[in-house]
Amino acid sequence: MSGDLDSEQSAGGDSGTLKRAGWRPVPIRQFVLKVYSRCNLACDYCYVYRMADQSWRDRPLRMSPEIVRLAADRIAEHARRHQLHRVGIVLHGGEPLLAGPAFFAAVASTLRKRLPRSTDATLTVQSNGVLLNETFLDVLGEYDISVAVSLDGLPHVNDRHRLYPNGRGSYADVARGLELLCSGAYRRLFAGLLCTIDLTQDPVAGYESLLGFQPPRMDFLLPHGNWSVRPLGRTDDHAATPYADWLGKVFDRWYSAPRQETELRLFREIIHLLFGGVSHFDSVGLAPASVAVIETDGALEQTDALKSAYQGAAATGLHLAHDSIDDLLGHPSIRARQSGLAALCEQCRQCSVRRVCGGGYYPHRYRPGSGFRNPSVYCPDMFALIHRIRDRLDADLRRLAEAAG
Amino acid sequence: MGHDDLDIESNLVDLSGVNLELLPTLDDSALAQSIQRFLRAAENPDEATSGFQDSI
Repeated sequence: MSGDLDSEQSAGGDSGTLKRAGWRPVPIRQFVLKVYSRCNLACDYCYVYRMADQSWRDRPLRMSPEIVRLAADRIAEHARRHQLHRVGIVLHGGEPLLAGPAFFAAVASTLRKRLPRSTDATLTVQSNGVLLNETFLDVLGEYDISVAVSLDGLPHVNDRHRLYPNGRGSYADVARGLELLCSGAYRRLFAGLLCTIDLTQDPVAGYESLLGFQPPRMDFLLPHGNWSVRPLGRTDDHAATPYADWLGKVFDRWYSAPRQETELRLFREIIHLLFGGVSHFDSVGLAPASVAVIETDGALEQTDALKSAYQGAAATGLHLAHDSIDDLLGHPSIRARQSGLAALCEQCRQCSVRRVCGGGYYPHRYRPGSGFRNPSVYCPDMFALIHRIRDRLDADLRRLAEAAG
Repeated sequence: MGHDDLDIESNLVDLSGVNLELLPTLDDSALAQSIQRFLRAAENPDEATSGFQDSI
């Protein structure tokens, strides 16, 4: 993989050159703790188990108390050094709830005790939801850990992809967990829903099915893929934009509602970027990425969706035991993801929507031989979706301005 | 402003004709909330960084 790494380093640029051009490393503000490395579901599109990287096989099952303490100390060190008033910590997996309620109490307690008083830590668990019960929710509530759940829309669509290893669908169990999460005192813990797109699903029916749980926010994720492993339906035909067409129908339904029924992250961020703002998540825009992943064994890694590209793509060679979070900021790939326009390929640099698209989600740019300095494999879809949203906003704002005289 | 920036600006949506007095006419729609978010962000610029896609 040295060819890929070389290409990646050129995408990040030499740090001396970048610094002379005004670039400075940006501190990490979001930490993804892989607290459990296995899952009780066997989803057919999972980037951890079903795609190129298989490093999960060599990881410990669960993050040990020693690694949790090390992680807390390294995050605290980083927060003090950069005077961070707020950090986000995502408890992730595998399926993190497999670690058990007592583990969550211990992790939250360790993190909150060891982080500086001046740093507010927001804790979230990203779960498949099948293990949510009152015991778990009581513990998550006690330690103020919010819960985000993955669910793919309509029951039969969800159960086509999100399966138990024996082939049974997970929808009924997730729905049971979500109903509990949405009830009474637990509702304040509900962070939102994530849905991976299946083009065969009716977009509006899928969206409305998720709306039934009244999520405060949600998002639709493009299935992971790249120029080597194409996403389903994404062909060489640049005139075809199946994902933009699908998302566009959801956009029209979401945007046309007289009262916003939920915050839809991708659309919210594209609109904000079109207004001239800065995106706060790493699929769109040119804001510097500030995410670090800490694996169950204490390895410091990049965004783990990179595991969809090739074996070792997310690895940095750094470990909490001997490396600080600041050391991660010098890694070529982190530099690339904090360099904005400078890290994009020439085609993206010339593109009219580059400020909004930002070159697309980094893992989706991968092409064997040239690494990540390519347009996203979803380039035609992103271009079409951004234009669709822009045209709708433009028309509405013109009408508003005319009405105001 | 460099050449790149000029190209970028030309692709943005023009908010110049919109002011806060118009917002009530938009009820609590996605557009109203998006405009409010943009105006708030402009008043309170924080460190602009992007976060993890696979959690919400």
